[in-house]
Amino acid sequence: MKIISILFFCYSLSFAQSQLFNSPQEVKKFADYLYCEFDYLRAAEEYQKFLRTDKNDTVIFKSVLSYYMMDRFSDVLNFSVSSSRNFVFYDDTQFLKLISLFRLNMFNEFDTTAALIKMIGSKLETNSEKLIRFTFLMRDSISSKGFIVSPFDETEKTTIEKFYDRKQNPHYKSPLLAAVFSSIIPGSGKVYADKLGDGIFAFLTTGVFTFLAYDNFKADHKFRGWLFGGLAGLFYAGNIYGSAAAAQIFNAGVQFNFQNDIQIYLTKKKHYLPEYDFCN
Amino acid sequence: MVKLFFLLLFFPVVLLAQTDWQKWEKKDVSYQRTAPFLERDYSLSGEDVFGSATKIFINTYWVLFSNLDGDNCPFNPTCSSFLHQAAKRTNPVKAVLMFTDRFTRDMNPFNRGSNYPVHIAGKFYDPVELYLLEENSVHYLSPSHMVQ
Repeated sequence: MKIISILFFCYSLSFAQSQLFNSPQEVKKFADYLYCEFDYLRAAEEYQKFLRTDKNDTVIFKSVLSYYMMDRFSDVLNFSVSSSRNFVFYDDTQFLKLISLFRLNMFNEFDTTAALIKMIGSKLETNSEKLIRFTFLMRDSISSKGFIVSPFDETEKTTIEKFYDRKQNPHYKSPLLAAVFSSIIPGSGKVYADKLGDGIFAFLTTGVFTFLAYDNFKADHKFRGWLFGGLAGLFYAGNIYGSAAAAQIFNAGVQFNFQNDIQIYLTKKKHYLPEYDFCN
Repeated sequence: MVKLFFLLLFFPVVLLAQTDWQKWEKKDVSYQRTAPFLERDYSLSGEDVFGSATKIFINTYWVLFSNLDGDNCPFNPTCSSFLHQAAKRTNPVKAVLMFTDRFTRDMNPFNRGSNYPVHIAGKFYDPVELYLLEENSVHYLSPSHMVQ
């Protein structure tokens, strides 16, 4: 009986864990599962674990892709620096790097990477040309409409032309004009700068204090007249100043909305990144 | 000997048996709301002549009105803090103009949600930097943005 028990114990030990769950292949299998379940951050961590012991081009690229999916652009940049020309997904990784630089607004580095992609004749050169055109729209550089829309096909050209027109003719408000308007009619500069409510209240405040000053002077209450007159003057001058500031904020808003719309459009287009089907 | 041992053992047991007296003892509970806005900096250090005059004026307003009236300003920074910051960042004339403009905007209760981003404290975020009329001082934030 004792012998049977000892033998049973030994066999249990030897067969209990025949599969090494932390072997690189198992880690990769688990990471692939997480990737296909859209659990990109955990997938990237598992791929990292795999890459500590093994090397695999697809795994490296899927790791970079996982970081991109999670908007972790700094991690994408760290990875793409280490990839060499012999790497199977070299062109794709360089393009991911280009997208990340675009998203991080690192335009100087973007230009260098874009030039490299052009030089090596990447298969994704057309896609990178499209991104380059968007950087022209986002920067303070002037280019012709034909140059901007050239890499895009007919379905996109109208949208890009609209972006170009918005860039060339932004609906800015002049701070000077806003100040002039408010100096003529208090509050009108605010209305011009798209702040209707603020304009009405500025008009009312200045109007009420002016009336109080006038009424007190008329009733020979000089102190109160000067007090309300002074307040009316302060609010009048403050409104002129505020109208110029409101126009400046409005312009910043126009610029912000333009850049935001470009980012939304590019997110919808997935930054012209090709579809990769690693799950079927 | 055994008796002495048990006697010595008895005292530490009694002393250490229940260390969490604090947990069970009676406590006077205050149902008053905490008011973090009352933790204000009244000091005049590091101020110039105009800054000191403004700070004295603001301190007086805080002590006589604001502390008693409560946390009512819908903006972050509050109008009084806005004046103080404007006085620090610009000259007296500009600071007063900025303050009167802010005061007028404070009187408008309509459409604040579509004009200002919301600060995490629940106030409308309206910093001094937006109104300095200086190049690159306007860092626009969308009204849908939550300011940390």
